[in-house]
Amino acid sequence: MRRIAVYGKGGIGKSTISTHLAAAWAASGLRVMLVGCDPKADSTRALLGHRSTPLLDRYEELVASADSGGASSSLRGLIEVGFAGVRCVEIGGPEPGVGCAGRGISMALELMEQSNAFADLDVVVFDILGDIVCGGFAVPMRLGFAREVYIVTSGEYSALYAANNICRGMRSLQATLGGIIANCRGLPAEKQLVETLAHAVGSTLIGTIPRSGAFPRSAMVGKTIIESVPESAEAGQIVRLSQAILDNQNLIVPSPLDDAALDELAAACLDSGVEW
Amino acid sequence: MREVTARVEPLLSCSLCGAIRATAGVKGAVPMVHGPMSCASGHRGIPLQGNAEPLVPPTALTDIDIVRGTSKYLQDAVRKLYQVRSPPLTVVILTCATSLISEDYQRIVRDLTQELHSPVILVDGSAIAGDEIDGYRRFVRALTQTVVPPASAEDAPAGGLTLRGLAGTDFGISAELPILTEMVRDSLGLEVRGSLFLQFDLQKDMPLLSLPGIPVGWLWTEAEVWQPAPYGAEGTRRWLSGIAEAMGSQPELNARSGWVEAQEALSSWRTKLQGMRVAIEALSWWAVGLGLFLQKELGCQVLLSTDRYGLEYQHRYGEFADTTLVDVGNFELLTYLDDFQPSFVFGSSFVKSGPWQWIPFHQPIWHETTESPGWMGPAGAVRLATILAQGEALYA
Ligand SMILES: Nc1ncnc2c1ncn2[C@@H]1O[C@H](COP(=O)(O)OP(=O)(O)OP(=O)(O)O)[C@@H](O)[C@H]1O
Ligand SMILES: [Mg+2]
Repeated sequence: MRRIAVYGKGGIGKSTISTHLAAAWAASGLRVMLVGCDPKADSTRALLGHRSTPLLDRYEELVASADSGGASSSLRGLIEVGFAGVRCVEIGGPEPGVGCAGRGISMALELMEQSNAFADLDVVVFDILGDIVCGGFAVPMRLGFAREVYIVTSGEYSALYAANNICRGMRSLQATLGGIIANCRGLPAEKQLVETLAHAVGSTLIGTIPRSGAFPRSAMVGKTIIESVPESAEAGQIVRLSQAILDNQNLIVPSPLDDAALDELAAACLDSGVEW
Repeated sequence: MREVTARVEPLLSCSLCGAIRATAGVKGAVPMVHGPMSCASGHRGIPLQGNAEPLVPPTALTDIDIVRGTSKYLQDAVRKLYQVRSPPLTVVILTCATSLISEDYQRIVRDLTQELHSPVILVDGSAIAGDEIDGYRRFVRALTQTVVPPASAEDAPAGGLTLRGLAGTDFGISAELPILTEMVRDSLGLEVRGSLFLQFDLQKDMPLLSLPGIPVGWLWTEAEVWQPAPYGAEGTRRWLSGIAEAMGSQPELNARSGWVEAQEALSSWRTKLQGMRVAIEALSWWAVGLGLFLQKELGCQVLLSTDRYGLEYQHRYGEFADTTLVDVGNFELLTYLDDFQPSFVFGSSFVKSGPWQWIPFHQPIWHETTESPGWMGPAGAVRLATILAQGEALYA
């Protein structure tokens, strides 16, 4: 089974890419699970068409049935099946400003592992909240729930900065990176810039998704474009990315840049003669 | 002087324990531990050290409570406590877990204070945030800042002072407090009107807060000039003149308390006790006071195992101990004692067993002992020197 985690700056398109990858794999016949590791619990809506009840909202019940040996069955009740059979789980977490979301992620993942939730799957995708904010959000990498990480970034400086910062976290955890995904904002030479960063940290640009109104439009009605406009060029690009990830065998522990080197990389892009 | 700082088995516990000790000093007050079960249940022994009911209710949070947020549990627990007991003061003490996730507890206790018409205060008891001494201090700050109205000097009884910084759980406090009170009365003609945060009555004792306060015990380093506990004849005289100075008006120091006579009695023991090795395990006010007496007045060699202020005192006012251990406790301390080979050890039950005579001096004391006869003041000093000279502990 492939265990894949999607990291990246807040709002960069992690959930969009996670759901679309899951949809593409499932549509090609693979058994797929998408786990939303975010207190917002908004990862799976585009596969289900509605918001799913988060696992942590029913934690006591699940633990009680785990104690009596029935966790896998009650967990099964919680795992909703979405587009093309993708199994969808939202971990959830506290209201903003209280509690400890990171701790929640690690507790939920452990409970899922104990309950055999990851059995009979070809791919599990973890859609992880924003930047690495505390130890809890590193848990999917640390405890081996995810074995390959894909970082989503655009060509904007803040997104590249976050991507490099995630590499820093991965280096200290010795977690392996499968590649960098460019989710474009429509900047000039954006793809080359992301690719330069990917090479600089020792990895590759594994795929490029164009900026397109088709994504937010489809999201409005709770669908992926794999479902709503499967023949579109954008859907084709998603399918190509999903295939590239399936074929990928290039897993490395990234070597992050220091701040000065990252600044240099960004400045070099402006000097490259491309019109801004 | 040899200085050793260690925290493998620290002498001091977490801030939470200091807050529980301090809470025990306010009549009827209840410490509510906001965190996991064991942070409360593990420390119910503390009120017992002061012969108080071991009432330390916890919010008993579990893993999932921490994830979802703990504010609601805290509100429910405090409301419940009021239904059952309506204490005059509730002290909400944060643990490491709740301190780390840092919700808006300050607002919660403020709202509860209004809702229940009874003060609820907040003390960060996390060991990450500080140790036992910090916890005691935080409690005093929280109480005086949020509960106590601004002092009005008219309400205060005239000609008095207060001692601030003792705890009901201090070992031997019931013997020493009357000694302190009497010495101040006899030598300075001043009346100790209360020992703040020790048997403090929120209904009656508020006016005492506007009296001059002499920092002792847990708060002794808040004084401008640090005055360690009055052990010995010279130590007692020094402490009393310290008070006189702090009071500003220079009250006449008369010798009725007997420290002049004691000085003579002690000098006769000095030849016998010169060079005797004595170890002291205690918080700095007590440890430094006793150590100075033993070293300066009786010529003993002293090992101190104490808090950071015991070391700081010697850096400021002069070294007197052979060895000063900072924050070393339990078995770790025993290894240093084996090295030092003391004839007498003053301290907790942890240091009872060894090739030395033990004198109970510092909590926790779990071996059955007779009450402390009181070692402070001139009479206490003579009592103590006699025991050391005879080479026998009171408590075999
Ligand atoms: N390639 C794209 N073209 C146009 N819009 C996009 C593209 N990718 C994502 N979006 C839009 O950007 C917004 C944010 O995307 P998404 O929710 O996937 O980000 P995220 O990284 O998961 O955010 P968060 O950090 O909050 O979880 C959404 O409205 C989404 O439709
Ligand atoms: Mg998201």
